[in-house]
Amino acid sequence: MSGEIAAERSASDSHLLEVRGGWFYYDEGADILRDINFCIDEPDILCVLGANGAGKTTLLKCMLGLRKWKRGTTFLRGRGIKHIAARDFWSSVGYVPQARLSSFAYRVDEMVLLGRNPHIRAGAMPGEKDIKAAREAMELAGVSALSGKLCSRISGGEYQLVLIARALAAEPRLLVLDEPESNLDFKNQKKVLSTISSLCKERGLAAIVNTHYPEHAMDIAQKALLLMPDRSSVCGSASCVLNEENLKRAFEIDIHIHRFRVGRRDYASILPMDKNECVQTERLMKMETRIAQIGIIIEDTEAADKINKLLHEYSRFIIARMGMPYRERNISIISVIIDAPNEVISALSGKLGMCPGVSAKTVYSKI
Amino acid sequence: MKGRSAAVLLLAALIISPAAALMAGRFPLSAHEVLSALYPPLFSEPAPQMVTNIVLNIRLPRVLLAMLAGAGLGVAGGAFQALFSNPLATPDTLGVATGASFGAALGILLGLPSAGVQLCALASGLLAVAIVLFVSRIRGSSSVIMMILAGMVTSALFSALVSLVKFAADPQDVLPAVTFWLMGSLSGTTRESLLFGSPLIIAGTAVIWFYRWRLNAMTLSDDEAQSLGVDVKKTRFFVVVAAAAITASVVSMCGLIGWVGLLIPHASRMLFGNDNRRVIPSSIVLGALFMLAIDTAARSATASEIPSSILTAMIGAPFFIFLLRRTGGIKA
Repeated sequence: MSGEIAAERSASDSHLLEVRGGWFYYDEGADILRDINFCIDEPDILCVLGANGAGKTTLLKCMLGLRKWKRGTTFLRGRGIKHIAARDFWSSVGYVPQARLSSFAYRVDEMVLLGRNPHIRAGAMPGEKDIKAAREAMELAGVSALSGKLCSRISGGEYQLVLIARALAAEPRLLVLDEPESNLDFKNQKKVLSTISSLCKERGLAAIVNTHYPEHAMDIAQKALLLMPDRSSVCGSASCVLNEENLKRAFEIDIHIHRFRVGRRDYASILPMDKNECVQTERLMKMETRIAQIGIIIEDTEAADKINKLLHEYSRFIIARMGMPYRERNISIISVIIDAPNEVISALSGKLGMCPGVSAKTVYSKI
Repeated sequence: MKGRSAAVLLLAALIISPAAALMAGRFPLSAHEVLSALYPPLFSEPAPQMVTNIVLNIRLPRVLLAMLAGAGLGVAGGAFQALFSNPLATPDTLGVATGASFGAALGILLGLPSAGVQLCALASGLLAVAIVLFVSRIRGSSSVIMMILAGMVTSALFSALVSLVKFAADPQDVLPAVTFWLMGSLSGTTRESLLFGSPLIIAGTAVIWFYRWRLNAMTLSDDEAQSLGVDVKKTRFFVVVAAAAITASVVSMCGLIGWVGLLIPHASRMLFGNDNRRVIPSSIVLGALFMLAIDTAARSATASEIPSSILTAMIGAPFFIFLLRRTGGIKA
C-alpha cells in the first residue's frame, strides 16, 4: 500500500490535498478567510484551530467545494477540484459533518451504507460489495455492535463514531472532520480522537480536523493551521505553531501551556487565563520558590565569560556560589545554590544547558 | 422479519383486492362473471353484454385509475417528505395541488374538453412549482424552509384564483361541476381519461423509483448529501418535477384528494422503517390499495356517490391516529 502511494507521489509530486491562496467572503470587503495556504499528505493529521467565528467550518466547506472559494483553488493530488467529478472526489475524501440528526432516523447500518453512495452508479442500489465495505467501516470505527439500532436511540458519542464509519465506508484517503469531539464527554472525546489517530497511523489515511481544543491538536496532530481574528493564518508543524504566543493571538486571551509527563508520554495542558488570573498566578509563582543546586562544569574556557554573565543576570536569586578551577584538565567547576520560582530555575538551567562546552545539572529540593 | 411478512401480505392484497373491487358495486357481480368478462376464451359461453360493459368500460378503468392515483399520491408524498426532510410535507407543500386545481377549474369554466382540462391542470401545477422554485432561490440556492414558505404562499395565491373562477362561474351548471370536481371524485373515469392521465403518473413514479436510494441522502443536510456524492440540485429538480407531474395529473383527473400523500408514506415508514429503498415501493403499493378501498367504498356504500376526499379524510385521520398509537409514533 505505502509503496503504491510513494510511487504515485513521485510521479506527480503533488500533495494529497493542497489549498493555494484561498479567499472567502460573503460580502466584498468583509473577508472571512484570507489567503489560506496549506497542504496535507498521508498519514498526517492537520488540525484547524481558531476562535468562534474565525471561519473554521467555512474553511472546511470551501476546501471541499461545498462553498466556492472567491479566489484560490483546492487541489486533490495536483488536480483542481473543479475538474474532478463529484463521485471521484467524494470517494477519496470522506466528510464527517457536525453531528445532527435528520428528521427521519435511519438504522446505523443503513446510515453507514449511505457512505458508499459515491461508489454507486446513478439509479443503482448498493450491492453485496457495498454492504461488505460498510460492515468493514463499522468495524474500523468500532460501531459494529450498534448495527441494527436506530441513530436516534444511540448516544452522541456513538453517533459521531457512526458518522466516521459512514465516511470510512467510501474508502477515502482523506478524512475531514468538523469538530468531531465537541459536545462529547471526556471518555467519548478520547475515543473519537484515538479512533481518528489510529486510523491515520494504521491505515495510512490523512485527516483534517476542526477543533476547539488546542490540547487535542497537540495530542493527535502533526500539523496545525491557526486562524487568527485578523483573518490571517499560521500554518506549520503542530509543535511549532501551537505556542503560547500564537494561541494568545488566536483566542485573544492569555494562555499558559503546562507541559508534563505521565509514564513515558509527554502531555501538554493549556490554561486560558484572564488578566486578573494572570496577575494572581504570577504573584503565586513568585511567592512559591524552591531551592536548587546547579552543578556546572565548564569544559571550554571560552564559555566561562558567558556563564558568568548569565549567572550575574540571576544574581538576585542566587544565595550561594562556589567556583573551582581544575587546571590540570583545563576545566572549571561551579556550584550555584538558588532560591527562586520554579520557572526561573528551569529557565536558568535550560539556558546553561544550551551553552556549548558546558555541562549543567540541577538538583531540586523537595520543598 | 416482521417487515418481510408484511411485504408478502401487501403483494397478495395487490392481486386479490382489484378483483374484489371489480365484483363490488351497486350491481354486484360474481367472480365467475368478472372473469368471463375479463378473459372470455376461458369460458364456453361469453358473459352477457351488460356484464362485459360494466366490467371493461366502467369498473376496470376506475379500479385502475384509483390504484394509479393512490400509488402516485403516495409516492409523491414520500418523495416530498424525503426531499424536504420534513415529515409534514405533502404534495400540497409546493402548492402543486392547488395550482393544478386552478388550471382544471379554469378549463371547466372555459368549457374545454376533458383532455384540455387536464392539460390546463398540468400546466398550472407546473407553473406553481416554477413559482415556488423561483421564490425560494436566494443566492443561488434554496433552503428547505424557504421552499415550504414559498409553497404556502403559492398555494394561497392559487386557491384565491380558484375562488375567482368559482365567482365567475355560471351558478346553474359550471359552478356545481367545479365544486363537485374539487371535492375529489373518480366518477368521471373513462378509458380515454385513463389513457391520457396515466403516462405522467407512471413516468413520475418511475423517476422517483429511480432516485429512491439517493432520497435517503437527500433527507440529510444539503452539504452532507453533497459530500455523499449526490448531485443535490439535479436530484431535487428531477424529483420535484416528477412529484409535481404526478400530483397535477391526479388532480386533473380526480380533483383534490387529500390525506393520501401524508398518510401513506408514514404508514410505510411505520411498517418498514425509514429507508426509502423500502418506503418508495411500499408507498406505491399501500397508496394503490388505500385509494382502491376508498373508491370502492365511495361508489358502493350508498346509492349516490360520496366524494373520495371526504372518505380519505374520514378514514385516513382515524387510521393515522390508530397507527401512531399502535407503533408508538413514527418508526424513528
